[in-house]
Amino acid sequence: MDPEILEHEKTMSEAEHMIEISKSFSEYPAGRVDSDGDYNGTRFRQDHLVDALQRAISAGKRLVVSLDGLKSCGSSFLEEAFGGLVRKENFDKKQLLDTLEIKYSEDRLSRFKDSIVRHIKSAKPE
Amino acid sequence: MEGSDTAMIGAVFGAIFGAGFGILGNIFFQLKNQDVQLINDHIDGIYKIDGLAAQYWLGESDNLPALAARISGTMSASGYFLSDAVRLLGNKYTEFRRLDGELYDLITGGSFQTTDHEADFNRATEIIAKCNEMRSLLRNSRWSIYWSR
Repeated sequence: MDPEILEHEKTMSEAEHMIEISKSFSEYPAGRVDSDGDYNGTRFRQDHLVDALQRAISAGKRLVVSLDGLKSCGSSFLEEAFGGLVRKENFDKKQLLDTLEIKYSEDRLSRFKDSIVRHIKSAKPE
Repeated sequence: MEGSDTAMIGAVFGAIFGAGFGILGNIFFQLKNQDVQLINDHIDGIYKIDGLAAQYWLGESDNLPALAARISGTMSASGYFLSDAVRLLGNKYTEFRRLDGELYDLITGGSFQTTDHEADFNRATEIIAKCNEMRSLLRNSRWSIYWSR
């Protein structure tokens, strides 16, 4: 992974690790799989979320995902990235909701957070 | 103090209070109109989203990626209303948030912005109905809170 990207996915404190989607991935993430474009949900899930979540869970810490800076973001991307954690990576829903902390500082981004929570809650392992 | 002095003082105070109330009333109506305009703008935004999203999900475009980009931009623009919605919509806010979330998932979920995208008439129907429900909620709030049609 690019060192600049790693710089953004920095450890904030001993208690939590943060991923800022707009800086470490894209301000315009879209689609589900590689054929949909470079910044798709599967790639974000596999390259950014899975390892960070596993580390956070085994260390008993939280993983902060910041939505700040996102210019647009489809629900299909969020479903693939976050719902996919349950559907394809077999994460436990409750453990996910306890470990993930979705942050934003502008009200317009609350829509994305609500959607992430809905997708995790409604996802079923495949 | 003579009666004419008392009348003069009364007239001066009356004029001052009258002007004060006039200014306050003017400020009140300007603020109210500004709030009503914000609701009107969001209703217009929902009309735009409605048209674009129906076109996308009915498959009525030769350039779906471009249409998806227009939808994304319009959806993002409509997100700014969320900053004012609590103040503007009062006790309708919770219902508004529910509808806003449902619309967001319906319009930009499923195969949105994917190469597998196919027309989905049921989804288009739901989007049109949900947009109508949203406009109705906004109009009702505009009337019940601001007495404005």
